[in-house]
Amino acid sequence: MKKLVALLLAAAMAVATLAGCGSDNKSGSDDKGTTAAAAETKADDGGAEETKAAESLAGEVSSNGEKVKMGILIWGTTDALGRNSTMMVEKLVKQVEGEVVIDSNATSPETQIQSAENLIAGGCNCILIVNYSDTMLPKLAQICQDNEVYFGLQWRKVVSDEIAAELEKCEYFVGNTCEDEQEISRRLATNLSKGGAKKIGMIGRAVGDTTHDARWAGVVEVCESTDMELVAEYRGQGAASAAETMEAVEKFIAGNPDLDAVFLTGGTASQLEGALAALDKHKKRGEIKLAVVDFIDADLMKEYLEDGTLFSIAGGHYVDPIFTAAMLINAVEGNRLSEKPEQIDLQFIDFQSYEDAVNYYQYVENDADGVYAYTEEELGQMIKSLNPDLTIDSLRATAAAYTIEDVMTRHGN
Amino acid sequence: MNEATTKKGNALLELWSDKERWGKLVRSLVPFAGLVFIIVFFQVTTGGKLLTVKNLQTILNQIFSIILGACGMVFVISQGNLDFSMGSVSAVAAAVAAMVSGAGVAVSLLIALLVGAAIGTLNGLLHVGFRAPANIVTLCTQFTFRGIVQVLTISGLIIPMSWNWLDGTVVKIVVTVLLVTATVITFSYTKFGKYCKAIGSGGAASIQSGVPLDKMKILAFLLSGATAGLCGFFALIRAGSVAPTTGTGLEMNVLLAIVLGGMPLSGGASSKVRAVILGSTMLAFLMNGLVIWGLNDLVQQGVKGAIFLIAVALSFERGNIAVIK
Repeated sequence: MKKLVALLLAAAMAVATLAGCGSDNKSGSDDKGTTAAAAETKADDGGAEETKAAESLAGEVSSNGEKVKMGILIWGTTDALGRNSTMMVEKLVKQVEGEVVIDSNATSPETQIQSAENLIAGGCNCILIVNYSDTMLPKLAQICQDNEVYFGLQWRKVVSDEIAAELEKCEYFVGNTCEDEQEISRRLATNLSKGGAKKIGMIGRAVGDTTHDARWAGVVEVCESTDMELVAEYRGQGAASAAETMEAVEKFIAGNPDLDAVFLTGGTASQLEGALAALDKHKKRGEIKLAVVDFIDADLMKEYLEDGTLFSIAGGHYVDPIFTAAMLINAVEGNRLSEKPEQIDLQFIDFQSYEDAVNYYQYVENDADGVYAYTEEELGQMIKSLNPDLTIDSLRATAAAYTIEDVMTRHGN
Repeated sequence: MNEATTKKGNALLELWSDKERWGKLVRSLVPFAGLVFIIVFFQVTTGGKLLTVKNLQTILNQIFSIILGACGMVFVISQGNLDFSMGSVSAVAAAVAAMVSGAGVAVSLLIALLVGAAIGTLNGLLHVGFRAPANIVTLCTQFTFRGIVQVLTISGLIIPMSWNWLDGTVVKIVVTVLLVTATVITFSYTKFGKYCKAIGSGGAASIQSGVPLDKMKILAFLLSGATAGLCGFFALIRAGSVAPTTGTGLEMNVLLAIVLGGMPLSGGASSKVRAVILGSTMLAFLMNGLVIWGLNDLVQQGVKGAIFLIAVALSFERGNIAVIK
């Protein structure tokens, strides 16, 4: 019986190999190897790439005909930040009739490298990643270099000079988009201190996540330069869930009766929900101020903003990946915006009042009506084959201008 | 009809009516059939991308990281126990190995193995000392060691880039062949391997048969820890560094692989070391195939979970109902 099974196995694999014939024996990255001849062939078939090229203004800038297939490595797509950011990138990629593949299964640096390899094997010609640590990037760069696949970082900045120098040598690294994490947490913590906070508890991610380390450092900096004291802290492995955050805040309250502020370095909106639930349960609303990097729904925020519980809040950075994605798309299409890796800085949106929250959720991130910071036409303007006037500086300027007022002005509100 | 034919007929009739034997036969063939199905299915649905040379190298990387852990875990599972601390142990071993990386590759590797073995031994001692279920003990130690990793990685731990060659295909093949060979020999041809299966079949009976129960359990955890240390070392090589999240999910992947390979979670006499190779290969092809097929990332998790449930249901030995030993 086992010999029969072995025979069947060999036969099935032989048939499957034949059935899958049609692509050559090279890697999935060879899917990207279309040439001008291929573009012509596609034009004969009424190909979209040729049509788009023909439609570009004055025909000066066209795509090389290569179809964009972008792999996105992200923690998950069930929370608002993950969901809306990938949705915006999908819309951007759709402008050039490309494809997006999302992998949210990687939980550590070595599994992220494995996931990148899988995506490349699956035919992705560019990778957009939110990396768990800087130190995995040289290995990722090597893989992308070997496979001629472009890659870029979202929400991340390369902190190590040595690693940054290493990445500069990789011709397939397009750059990154990031926010000044230390600055935003410094700003929020300063607001807390000016608001009278003296004893603060902090909740963040495990050491090694560069974004959260920078946010943590910003608060510590303010504590060192003011009379605000860090009396309690909790660092989870990944983004703390609502239940985890609630439990942490409850422990802070139990261990520090004079606690008057909690700072959440963020990660998902559920952290804020957990913290608010803990304050409600222990009747500490108004008594303990919250500062957080991340938003929740405006209606939920209303009462907390009005009674001062939500003292200082920043977010709106779901648009971050769009800019790196734009650099990737342009590179894949042969219209790379810069010969060297570029960093695009984005600023957080912070709410000064409840009106800010209302405007944000109406004009900047409106899930109910499908209204977001950039329309599909505006996204198209970030692609050189659709907008020949696009440069890295104009893309950078678009990112720098991002505020609630900017979105309202652009959309005629 | 002559006597020989009648005897053959009676034997076939007996086989047909023997449900237990059919059940065992089906259970032993399911992993092979599963592997065939996965390969054929993804080869066809991905338009031939699965069995390209480059993708097979990618799959080898994935098999490698699972099979190392499975080679150690197989001893623990054959005894009817579980080790949930494997990921954390691998992270601690990787962290310590990175800290001594200045002393060279050999020293770093040795330290990783020793750290893993030491922690595994501790797990074993806690299990037999407190007479607590192994899955509970290792669940607890998982948190302890993850906390230790967070402390160790505060300053950032990296290795020299000149160690990159250890991430090469040849090295992985050599290490895999050596480790699998050692595992097969130990599991199938030594007293220790037989004792492991005997313990899985029934602890009380094995004691009465003269099996040194406690010693064998500690040794199984020692081996599981040592292979976790090896996993940690190569995770360090792969990523070039150690992060607080290194090794996360390793124990579940290893467990899933072993169960997919046809090893009953309850351990015992029907434990087969081929589950290590078969299961690791199957899981690697499955994880790779799901991604390159382009299946929604959320659905992928559901698929993995469903396959695990089916594999457990098919392979579980209902006669060995006491999973907690």
